Amino acid sequence: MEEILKLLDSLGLDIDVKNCKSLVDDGYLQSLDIVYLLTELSFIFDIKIPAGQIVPENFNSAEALWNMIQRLEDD
Amino acid sequence: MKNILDFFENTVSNCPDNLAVSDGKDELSFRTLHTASRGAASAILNRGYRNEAVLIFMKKSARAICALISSIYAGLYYVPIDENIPSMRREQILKAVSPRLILCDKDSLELLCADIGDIDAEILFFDDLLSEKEDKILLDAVRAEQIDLDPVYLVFTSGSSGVPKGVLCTHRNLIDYAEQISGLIKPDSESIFGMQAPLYVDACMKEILSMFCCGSKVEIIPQSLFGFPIKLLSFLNEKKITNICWVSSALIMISSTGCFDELRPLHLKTVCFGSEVFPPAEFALWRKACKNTRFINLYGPTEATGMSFYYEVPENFPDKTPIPIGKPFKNTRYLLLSDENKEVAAGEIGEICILGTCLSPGYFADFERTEESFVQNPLNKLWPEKIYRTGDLAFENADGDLVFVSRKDRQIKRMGYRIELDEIESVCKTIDGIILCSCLWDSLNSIISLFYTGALSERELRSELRRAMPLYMMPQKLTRLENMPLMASGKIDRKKLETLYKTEY
Repeated sequence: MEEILKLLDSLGLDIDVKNCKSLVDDGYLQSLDIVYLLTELSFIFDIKIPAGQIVPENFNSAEALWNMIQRLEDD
Repeated sequence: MKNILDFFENTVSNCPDNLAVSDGKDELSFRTLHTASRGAASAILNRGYRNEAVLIFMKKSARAICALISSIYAGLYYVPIDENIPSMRREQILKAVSPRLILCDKDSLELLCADIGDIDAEILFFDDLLSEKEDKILLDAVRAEQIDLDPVYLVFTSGSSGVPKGVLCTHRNLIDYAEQISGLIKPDSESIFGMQAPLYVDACMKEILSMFCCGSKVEIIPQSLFGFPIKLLSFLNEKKITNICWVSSALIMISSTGCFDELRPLHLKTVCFGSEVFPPAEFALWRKACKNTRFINLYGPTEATGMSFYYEVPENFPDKTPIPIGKPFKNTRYLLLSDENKEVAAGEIGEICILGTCLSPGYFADFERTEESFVQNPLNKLWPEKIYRTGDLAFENADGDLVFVSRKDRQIKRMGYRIELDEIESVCKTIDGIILCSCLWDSLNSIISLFYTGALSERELRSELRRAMPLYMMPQKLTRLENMPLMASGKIDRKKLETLYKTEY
């Protein structure tokens, strides 16, 4: 979770990334941010995020991202 | 023909009830688009605006496209911007243009009021003009006075000094482009274009001109979908999109995430791409996923109106081969010039220089830069003949197709946008707490990396940069250094930074 928060924080958004639940729905994350996050997440956690997981629900909050990573690591 | 609207009007009379543009909220038929834009144009003219710039600050939408057409009807040239251009850059554009008239929507008004500074412009909600009645006599009079060298729009592109430069496009430029692009893509009234490009770059003209000339429909794709590949593909299938003209990075986002294992595009007839390199491995995935689809690589600078070269990738195109940029459009000629301004020998690398009706009149309010880039053809000693020096290096292969090699300067292409690395540095230097900075471009991995010294943390700097530059210009890697490596001359030692970059990543 630390790594996720650090990564989201590094985007320099003007919001509290720790508590925001609508990073995508409210337009804080743009498509280029998603591409950036995908690259960084694959690098940090050494996983490949399959296309089926790249959906707004998994990117709306730090917690949702963390849950996705957990699921992928369990597989 | 002397006005780009002649194409549009022809289509309006041929298929008035076909849908011209849709954005999920509004669906406008050709008839509605025609009536609404003529009404809005009359309203603009009745307020006294003539032969001048109109800034259009609206969300990418069917109505925004209607606003562009209204400006053309009013004989004004439009300057399109939207909320995705960061405030600092919007302010620069506003200042450079100093328009007397600005069209906006409810969402952009607040941002606009913050940007506008001391510019004395009338701000109108475009929606309020939609119900106005057309003044045929006035519109006809404006049309009769116009010549084909009058500008249609002014778009801004990255400038190395840190200030974006405006490129003008005339009716004559667009008529030529419309003929070439429709002749190549061959869309018809059944075609549906899925539009990716923002309205503030000339890339969106491929879709708009296909709508004007061939009665094709433009379906505006919500920007947010470009982060979510499966959703994006589902959208293409659901809307039965037949044609896409996207930057390569948008196509790569789909193929590289393994999307095609789950879903394939069902209706695509033509895929145009370009503005940057399409890695052969990713291209192979697309080709496999879309049988019976034409794939066309397009290349061209904004200064030569949209695209100038094309290469339709043949079925038997060999794997692992870079895709050429191909041959020039009809009515466009090119030269490959050496540093000595001579034509290079066959197969040798030279700078692509473009000649033809496609050439823009030049940069807005900047004669100096215009004269640097739009120059006399050094091979013609007999009459004035302008060429545009692209700064792109290429060679001609054995089939007579051009193959892009690299840039002459520090301009790069990322996500389809032209970016001057010098501009990133210039912008960065304006931020308090930054002392020295230097950008590197890793073309292999498409990564911009910025090294800097100063008081700001990497996070703080990123936050500042988000306000100051568009996201496509944002360096992915920020590295704060205690000391910047310098050469004896005092200049930043980029070679040392490159070594540092290679060891770190």
